[in-house]
Parts: sequence; structure tokens; C-alpha cells
Amino acid sequence: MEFDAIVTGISLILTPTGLALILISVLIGVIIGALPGLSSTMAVALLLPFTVGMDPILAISMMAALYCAGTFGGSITAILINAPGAPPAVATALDGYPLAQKGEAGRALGIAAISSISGGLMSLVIFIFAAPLLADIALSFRPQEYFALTLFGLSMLAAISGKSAPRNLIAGFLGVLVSTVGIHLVTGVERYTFGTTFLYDGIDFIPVLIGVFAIAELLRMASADDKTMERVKKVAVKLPSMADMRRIWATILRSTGLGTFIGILPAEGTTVAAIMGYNEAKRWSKHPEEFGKGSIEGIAGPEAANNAGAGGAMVPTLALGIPGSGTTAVILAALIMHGFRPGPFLTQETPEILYAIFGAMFIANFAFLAIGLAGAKVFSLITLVPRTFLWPSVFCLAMVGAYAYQQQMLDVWTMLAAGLIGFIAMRHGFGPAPFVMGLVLGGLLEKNWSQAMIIFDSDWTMFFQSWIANLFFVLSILSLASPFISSMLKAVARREAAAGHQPPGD
Amino acid sequence: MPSDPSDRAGHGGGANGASALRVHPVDVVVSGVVLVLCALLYWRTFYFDEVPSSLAQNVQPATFPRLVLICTMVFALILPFEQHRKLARGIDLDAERSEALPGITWATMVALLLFVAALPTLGALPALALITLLLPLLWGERRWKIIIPYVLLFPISILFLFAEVLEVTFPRGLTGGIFY
Repeated sequence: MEFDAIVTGISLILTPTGLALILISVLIGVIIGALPGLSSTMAVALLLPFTVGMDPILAISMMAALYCAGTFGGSITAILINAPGAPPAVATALDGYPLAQKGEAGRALGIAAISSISGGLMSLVIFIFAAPLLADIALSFRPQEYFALTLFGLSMLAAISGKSAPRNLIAGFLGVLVSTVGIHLVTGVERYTFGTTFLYDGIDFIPVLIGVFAIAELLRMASADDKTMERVKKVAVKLPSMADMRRIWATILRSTGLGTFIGILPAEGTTVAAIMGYNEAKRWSKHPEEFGKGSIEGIAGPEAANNAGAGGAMVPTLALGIPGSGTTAVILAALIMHGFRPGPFLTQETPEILYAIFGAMFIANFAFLAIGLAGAKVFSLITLVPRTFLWPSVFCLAMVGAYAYQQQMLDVWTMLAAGLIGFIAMRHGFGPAPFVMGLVLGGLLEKNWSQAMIIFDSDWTMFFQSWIANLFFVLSILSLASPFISSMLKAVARREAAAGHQPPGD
Repeated sequence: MPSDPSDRAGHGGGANGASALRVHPVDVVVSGVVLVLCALLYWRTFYFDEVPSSLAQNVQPATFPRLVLICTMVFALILPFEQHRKLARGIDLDAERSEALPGITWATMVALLLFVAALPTLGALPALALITLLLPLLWGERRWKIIIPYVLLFPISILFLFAEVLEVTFPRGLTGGIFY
């Protein structure tokens, strides 16, 4: 670790402005996280245009802080009113709400907060050591190896949470295709510009991100029912007792490890981490029968895992330039927008950003503990904001944000088109996150493919002469086949279970 | 129609192998749309300029998009066979698309399109005020005591933040600019 970089990075955010902006981001993150339908990914996408004129490191730190806080925010409403504000909080609601129903809402919130902060902080320690190490390893990668690694990142879309692996892959590859629009960097030839000058520089990330995350969701909400949310009367937050801590510490540690590992895997996100954290907490628990009825391990497991997943997801994003989740894909786009070169060179050229992000996420963990717990009741009341005012506000922010980025109407049209297409695609099971991952990875994929092809003089068999590349190719095939492998394993397990139930001699 | 997805998978499901080959009509259309789109984009690559090999360094501009399109088309071929396998596992891909798009969604789409089209002519502030009035009304909101302050305050706050703090110049339109 470079001492200068640590001091520079931390000092950039430890200014009154820096701290104020991080605290504002945490506040926004908790609010957005608490609001069902609004995700931290959308919030980061909407925040992007605001940061155009800002110090780039501060801007990225704000987004990282928002990501952390948004992941926690969802659990407040999940516990208090059984309305998970964000997908990762769905697993928290399974035991958080039943515990709140028993009159122990404060205890449930306290356990969620302590588990979140423990998972978040421990994963940050792993992040700060793992990211430079991973970047150092990746620096020795040649183009064919980097191409194979990026392909592995894309292939993980098959294993990502979602309804359908082929749909995730199609969305991802269409994202890659969109990234090819504009001037081809090797030859200078126009591709898919259809003769217009607007598309010479390609399709910009920012309006597309805002469109697919905000406008598509707005259209989905247009026909949503107006649910009358429960008004929470009294919530006194109660930090876990020593007895509670003795019962959950092992769950927190296990879920932190699991969440960080899942976060580091390209394309996997905090939702997968939370669900796996819940399942593992149940599997290892001495009281699995309590799960679903208000088990404190059932709250600690997913909460520690999803916040650890947020820290873990930053590792491949910064060290390799390959996003660990949907939100980090947007953060990656922000890095590119602010002129950084995500990937192994980032830690060499601008190491201070790593430490600034670490610092911001560290502060965010403590800030959401304070803000979230002190204002739990207020945040649960946020769900009472009618969608008839909430979503028009989101549209105004989206429109103004898309325009402000380059101050041209074309970006607003791009945002709207992306939103309309994204909405139709979502109805048919195509998710926005895989598309965005493809969009941000597309440039990296083609650049490394082109460089390798130039070096190999178009002999593609040379891709297989590197064991690192071969390893990633095998991993890609395994992740593409993972939906079929898991189906087969389940079928075998079912057959064995059925055979076990047959009477003897049958 | 049974509500449990796995029940729906059972109807006429037959043997596992047979159900795996059953196609879902809606997904045939979805797959067809993706395939046609990819085919058109593939055809378009033939119109990219050819570059001499020495200049292209063996990387013609059309090669990479073609590879991406071929992969996409291969994945699209799997789509029609997915639904029955998914239903058997309790995942219903028809959950969101089983009903036609409600009128309110169509109306919202049209409102957004009209708003963006009118923005340069009207100017940012009147356009934002209009959309913050129309969308809540369209979605059934009738609480005027909330609507009026919302329409008056929200667009002004947003534009003030962007125009004054972030120094963004918005389209002035017919009404001219207040902050911008």
C-alpha cells in the first residue's frame, strides 16, 4: 500500500464538503432503499448527472456511499411493514417482519443494523487488501487473457439471479452490441451510425442507464395498485443484547465470508448474497424450526451477507474493470465518464480513488447505522408517499439529469427510447442489469479481442495457448451450463428421494 | 388457469423429455423478434466500409459485431423451449405479460413522448410544471391541496438546483428562461 495514496484518498473525503456530500448520499441511499420500487442502482444512475462538474473522486465516493446505504435502507421497511424496499431485503423480511409482529421491531432493527455494519466493515477490509492484489495479478494479463476474463464476466449473466439465463445472456450481448455503435477504434470505420453524425461517438451510457433503470420502472408502476401501507406507531431501536450477539456472531462471520465471495464474482449481486446468507444461516442454525417465525439468525444472515456483497462487488469493479453487480456496473460507467481507466491500471494510475472509496464506504456504514436507526420510524413513513407524486418526481429528475449531462435534447430522446424498449423487454423477462453490464463491458471485450487478434495475426487458435485464458474459458462454459447442471442435480436428488421413499422389496 | 406455476406445468406435461421440447407461443414471437432484429443488424454489417488488410491489421470492423450477433441468435433459439421447464420449477415467465398492457400504461407512454417532444418549444419550466400536473392526474390523483404546491414547488426546485448550482442551460422555449 502506498502511504501517499492512502493519505490523499482519505484527505479528499475528510473535508467538510466531502463529509457533507457522503452523508447526503447516505441519507438519499437509505430513503431510496426504503422505498419499494426505487433501487440503489436507479439512485446511482440518477445521481450520475449531478456529479459531472464535481471532483471525480468525490463523485465516485458519493456513489459508493449511496450503494452501501441503499442496501441497508431496504431492510427498515422489510422489518417494519413487510415491504422490502430493495430486492436484497426480501430475505430479511422473512424473519424480520414476524419478529416485529411479536412486538420486537426495535430488536429486529438493531440486529439488522449490527449485522449489516459488521458485514459491511469486514468486507471492506477484504476489499482494501484484495483489490490491489487482484489488480497486480491482472496487470500481468495479456489481451487474450483479459478477453477470456471479460467473457467469463459476461457468461456469469447465465448464473445471475433472474428468471431466465438465456434472457440474461441475450440482454447482455445486446448491450455489447450497443457498445459497438460509432467509430471503430482500430479502423475508423462507422458502425451502425445510419449516416447520422449523432452516433459517431457511440451511444452514451448515461441516458441509457437512466432510461432502463428509471423510465422502465416508472412505466411498470403506472398500472401498479395503490397499496395502503401500514403506519408504524412506535419504534424504539434496541441494540442486540450479549445473548443475542452470542447467538448471531457465527452467522454474521459466515454470511460475511459468503457475501464477500459472491460479491467478488462478476455479475452476481447483493440479492444472491442475501438469499444464500439466509439459506446458510438456516442450514447451520441449531434452531432451524424458528426460521420464518422471527429468528434473529434469519435476520443476521441475509443482512450481513448483502452488505458484505456490496464491498465484495467493488473488488472486481475497481481491480479488473468488471462489475460485480448491477449497481457497480453503473459505478463503472461513472468511472469511465469521469475519465478514469477502470481495471488494473486504476490502482497504478490513481490509487487514491481506492482509498477514497474505502473511506466513503467506511463512513457510510457508521452513518447509516446512526441515520437509519435514529430515523427508522421516519424512513418507514416514506413508504406513505403516494406513487402518484413519487414517480412523476423520478421522471423529472431523470429527464433533467439526462439533459444536463451534455445539454442536448438527443440524450433525453435516448433516455426515453431506452426506457420504452427496456419496459417492453422487462415484461418478457429481460432484465436491465444484464443489458447494462454488457454495455459497459462491451468496449473492454472488443478492445482485448482486437488486440489479441492483431498480435495473433488472426489465428484464433492462439487464444487457447494460455492456461489463464483456458481457465477462464472453462469457467465461462461452466457458468453458461450452470442452469442445466443445477436442473440435472435437482432431478437426480428428486429421483433419489423418490427411490428412498419406496417400500422395501419394491 | 391454475395460479401455481408448477400446476400449470403439469397440464399436458407428459414425460420430462417431451415437455422440454414443447414450445411456448409467446416466446416463439419473442425469439422471432430477437432473431429478425439480429438478422437485420447482421445484414447491415455488409454495408460497413471495408478496410485494406494492412490498415485493418486483420480486424475488420464487421467481425466483432457479427460474432456478438451470432451468439445472441444462438441464445434466442433456446427461448421458445424455456417456459415449460421454468414452470416445472415454479417460475412463471408469463407473470408480467399474461395481461395486455393497461390503458394507463399506454397513456403514460404517450404523455412522456408528448412531453419530450414539447420540451424545446415550451421551455423547461412550463414543460416540467405540465408533466408534474398531468401525470398525477392521469394516475388518478385528485388531492388538489397536494397537487398545487407540488406543481408549483417541485419543478422550480429541480430547475433551480440544476440551473443555478450546476450551471446547466435548459431550452428556453416560448416562455423564455427564469433560472436559465
